[in-house]
This record gives sequence, C-alpha cells and structure tokens, in this order.
Amino acid sequence: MAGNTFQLEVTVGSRVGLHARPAAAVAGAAAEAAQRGVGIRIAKPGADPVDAASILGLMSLGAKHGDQVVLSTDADDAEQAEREVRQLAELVARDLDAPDAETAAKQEPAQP
Amino acid sequence: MLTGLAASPGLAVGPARRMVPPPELPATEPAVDDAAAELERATKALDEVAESLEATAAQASGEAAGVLAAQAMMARDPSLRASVQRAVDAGRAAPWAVRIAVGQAQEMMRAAGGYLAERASDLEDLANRTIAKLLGVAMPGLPQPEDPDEAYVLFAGDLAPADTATLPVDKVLAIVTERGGPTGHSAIIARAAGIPAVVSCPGAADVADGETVIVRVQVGETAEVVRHPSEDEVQAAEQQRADLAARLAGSSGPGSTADGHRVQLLANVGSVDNLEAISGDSDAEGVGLFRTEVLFLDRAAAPTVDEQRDAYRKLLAALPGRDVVIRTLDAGSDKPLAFVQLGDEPNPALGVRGYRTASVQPQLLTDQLTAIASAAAETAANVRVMAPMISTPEEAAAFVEQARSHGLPSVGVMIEVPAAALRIDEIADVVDFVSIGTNDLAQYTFAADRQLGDVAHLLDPWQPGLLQLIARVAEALRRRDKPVSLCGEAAADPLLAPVLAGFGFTSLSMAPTAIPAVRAALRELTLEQCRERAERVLAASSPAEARAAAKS
Repeated sequence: MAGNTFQLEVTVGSRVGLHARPAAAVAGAAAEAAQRGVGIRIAKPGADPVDAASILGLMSLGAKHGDQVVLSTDADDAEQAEREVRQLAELVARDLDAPDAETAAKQEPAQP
Repeated sequence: MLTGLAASPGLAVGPARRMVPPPELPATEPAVDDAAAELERATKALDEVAESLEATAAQASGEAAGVLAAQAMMARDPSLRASVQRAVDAGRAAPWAVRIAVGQAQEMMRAAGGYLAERASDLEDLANRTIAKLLGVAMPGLPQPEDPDEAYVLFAGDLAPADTATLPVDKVLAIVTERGGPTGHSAIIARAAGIPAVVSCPGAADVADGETVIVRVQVGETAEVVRHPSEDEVQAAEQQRADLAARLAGSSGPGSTADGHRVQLLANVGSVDNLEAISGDSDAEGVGLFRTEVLFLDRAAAPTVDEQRDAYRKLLAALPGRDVVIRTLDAGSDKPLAFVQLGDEPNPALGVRGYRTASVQPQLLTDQLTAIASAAAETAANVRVMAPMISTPEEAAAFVEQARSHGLPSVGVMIEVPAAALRIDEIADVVDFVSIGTNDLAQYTFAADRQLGDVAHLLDPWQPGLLQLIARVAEALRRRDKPVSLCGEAAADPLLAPVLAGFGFTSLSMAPTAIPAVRAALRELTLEQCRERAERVLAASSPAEARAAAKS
C-alpha cells in the first residue's frame, strides 16, 4: 500500500534538545524499527524530513526542547507502522537526559 | 631545554610518548576493480570502529561515555554509509570514500553552526580511525606503550576534547603540547586532573618517542622541558618530586597558617557531577563557587523552578554543614542563552551579562532565587548566594534586598568590575560577604581581553595594579569583619596564597586539585609573616618583583 503514510506530531522532551545522548537514543531506536521493516522519518513542520535512524540527520534538525517534530513512515503494514511510530514518538517526548547527564557534552565554563 | 607556557604546575620525570597523528592518505589512489568488495571493506572498517568505540564507551562514565556513544552511532549512521557507497560506486577506493563522505557531513554540520559545528571534530576523529584501519597504520590518538602499565609524559600537537575525555590520568605524568594556550582545553583538563602541563612549546615536535624528559612547571615562572637530562638531574628531580609528594600527602584538613589563623579552602564546582572531586584527596572545606550556567546553556527555554530546585538540592544535600556559595546566572558575553535575546552586542564582554541580565529578564533571577531558597530550606548546607558582575553599590543593595526577601540569610556579590572595587566601602556596608573573580577583574582593570594570547602578560595576577585593587577590597571587608573570598586562577597559586592571607582573605576557592599545594604553602608561615610578605608585595613595581618579594 504505497502512499499510505502514517504521521504523528510530538514535542521534544529532552532538555538539551535532540543532541548528543538523546539523539543517539532516538537514532538507535529508529534503526531497530527500520530493521523490523518500518523506516521512520523525522522533520520539523514544513521542512524536509530526514531518516530518524541517522544521528547526523537528527542533529542537523537542530530540534530544541519544546520544539514540535513530525514522525512519519510509509511502511506497508499499517498497524505495525503506527505502533512503531508511536513507540518512537514516546521516546522523543521523554527527557532522555539521565540525571547525571544534565551537563553532558558541556565543557566546564571558564574560570570567573 | 625547551620552554613553553605554564598551563598546570608540577614536576614530572619519565619517557616521552607521542600522540599518534591522524593518518595521511597516500599521494596516489589505487584503482578499484571490484566496487562491491571495496564497499564491504569500508563497511567492515566502520563497523569495527563503531564496535571499539562502543566498548570504550561502556568502560567510560559521564560526559566521555556520552561523546563516545554518539561517535559510535555516527560510525553506524545510514546517511554516512550511503555517502560512502555513492563514493565507492563512483570508483573511489575505500579510504578516500570515507574521507569524502565524512567531509560532506562535516560541511553540513559546520554550515548549521553552533553546537553542531563543534561536533564536526568528533566526526574527524571517526574518519581518522576508520582510515587508519583501512590503511593498516597505527590508530591515531593516545599512545599505546608496549607495557600497558607504563607511566609517560604525553607529547601532542594539541589535545582534542575527545583525547582528553579518555585520557588515562593515572598514566600521564605530564602533558607537553606544541600549540594551545594556557586557558585552552588541554590546560583546563590538565589542571582539573592535577597533571603538570606545558603548552605552546616550540620544539616539542622534535622529542622522540621513549626519550626521557623532565617537565618542570611553576605557573607564572617556569615551564620547561629538559631533554637528555644527566643521571644526576634525573635523580635530583625524582628526589624533589618525592619531597613535594610527601609534603602534599601530609596536607589535609582545614586551611590555616602555621599559627592557626583560618583561611578556608574551598572548591570551584561547575556541575553537580563534579562533587566527588571535592571529597577525596583535595579535602575541600566546601564550595566557594558553584556555577549555575550549565543548567541554562544549550536550551530553548529557561529551566523551571522545580527543575532548578532539584539540581540545587542535589548539590546541597551532598554537603551538610558545609559552606556552599552559589553564584546566580552568569550568562551573556561568551555564554549566550537562547531565551535571552540581547541583540547584537559589539563588545559582549562589556554588554548585558551577569547580574545585568536581570534588568532584561527579571524573572530569571526571581525563579533562580526561589529555587535556591527552596532547596536551602530542605537541606542542611550553609548556603550563600552571590551575584556576578556587580558594578555599583546600588546594584549590590538591590540584589541583597531581593535575595533576602526570598529568605536567603547570607548574600554577597562578586567584585569583577573595577568601579565596584573602587566603591568597595559602600558595597561592603550592604552585603554579607564578597568574592573577587580575579580573571574578570584583571580583564577589566587592564582593558585586556582574557581570550587574547597577545595581552596575557597584562592578565598576570601578580600585576601590582591588580594586587593593589585586591588588597583594597580585602581590607574593606576585614575592617567590617565580613568574609572576603577570592576565586579564580590566582587562588590556586601556592606562592600567592600566603600573600592573600596577609591581605585578609578569609577563604580561597580554586580547582579542587590545587588545594593540597595551597594548604601546604599556608601552613609554612605565621599570619604575621604572611602580612609582612603582603606588604612587601604591595610595594613591588612589577610582576617579577612582586613574585620575588613573596619568596622571602
């Protein structure tokens, strides 16, 4: 059933946005979904989508905490497609910064 | 003998080991007969690099683990692999295809700017590893001595953040770099780990792998690398090292002069994750500067009161009964925030930064003080708050009034602006304490950009102009019997510590690793001797004279 697209809008929940650790987590989950036959794309509303399994693509979105993003797939099995997209959406909406990661990827600021 | 710039103090003797440089692609590219096999070769190399990064990430913790895991994901990235395939399909050999694909991704990241542009170097490292594998040459990065337990002096062009994240601090005796400044990445990492470091050292490239060297660094004085030392020199250096180690090992407990005059030794802390650093060997008495910026940077919206309270509570709960000085948001200038629109400032260091941010977005400070007060009420640490970049007594009074209205008992300000130092009497009347940020105070007093190497000599904390200003501030607080602290590079200088005690400083706040040497230096002199030195130092007419005066 080509052309049968399922899409879902979701708010980025990670405090640092889809960078570093959260981007790695989302890309990892999307890669697993792709292996199960559901390739998922992600986009900012109105912009060109990128492969959600690509950490480079995810980071290039520059999606910050609180931004809306659209997940979509054209996978054949509509039921599985919806399930996979919802699962990934749940991950995007979550704060993927572990408590000890709130400073991850942040260099020590300069001395006073 | 080689000399460079002092980045982190100490003394070390050991074999030189060089960072392995990134592989270079051969001048001629081999012709590819079998594109499918070539693609498989590239894929296999990327897989192996991803696997080894994942294995290293599993053994690392904190920030390093995050960087490595993201790097491993990049090696597995489907869009990167697609670019590699396109290049191979176009007839390129595997190493060249990887170079091209990574170059394209980097171009995209650099074009995006900001955070993403900084991550482009992670990708560079990834390309170098993959290409080294494909060419069958040594893996670039940290040296891998034949004896894995060997301790060595690390020689490098400069260290990348990725190198420092995985630096085996127990194996590295000292760091010598050809490039980099005393405030650069390598220097910050070396100081944090307590490893002596010489940066911007011409001739460092000529030192051969395995050559024995002596590295001797005293900040502001010597930064030398002795090549081909004689047996006697090696022995003398080792003896000196042992003496120093023994002296520091005997150093623990609260800071004081030989006759028991207390000078609190506190730690500068940038995030709740660094707390382990202040227990342990450094034996800090508390936190003299907790920077709150990390909670605010790289975000689209300000953190909520609840989120901030949780972070402060974590900090305070770990330090019951101890002093913890929290500095309110010091954003602006080189630390811009997405949610504070300041417009284009031609001179950000002179713009809306520190406490001035509150005039643009008052809610930020209100929320922060609410969160700090709420965390303080739930924990048993002795909480103090201070505002950065205060310029006038009016600003100081306004901040004190606001912080007290939140129920915070001890409120101070930072002295970083010369005008505030000049009007310290009026400021000292209204605050509970002050803390001098010497790096910014030097920058503004000497009109010399902190980030510019060419004016570094003006930013020397031993400049008489700066010392006189500092002494004046300390004296004003001493007369009122109010605490006065110094945080910044200067607090970590063991030669300066007794002078600061002589000026009347009641606490010094520094990188935790600097505390043992400062503690030992203070214990050698009585308060009277410290005061005598302070007087002689104030009479000096140059940084060199001031240092000499502090030595006797």
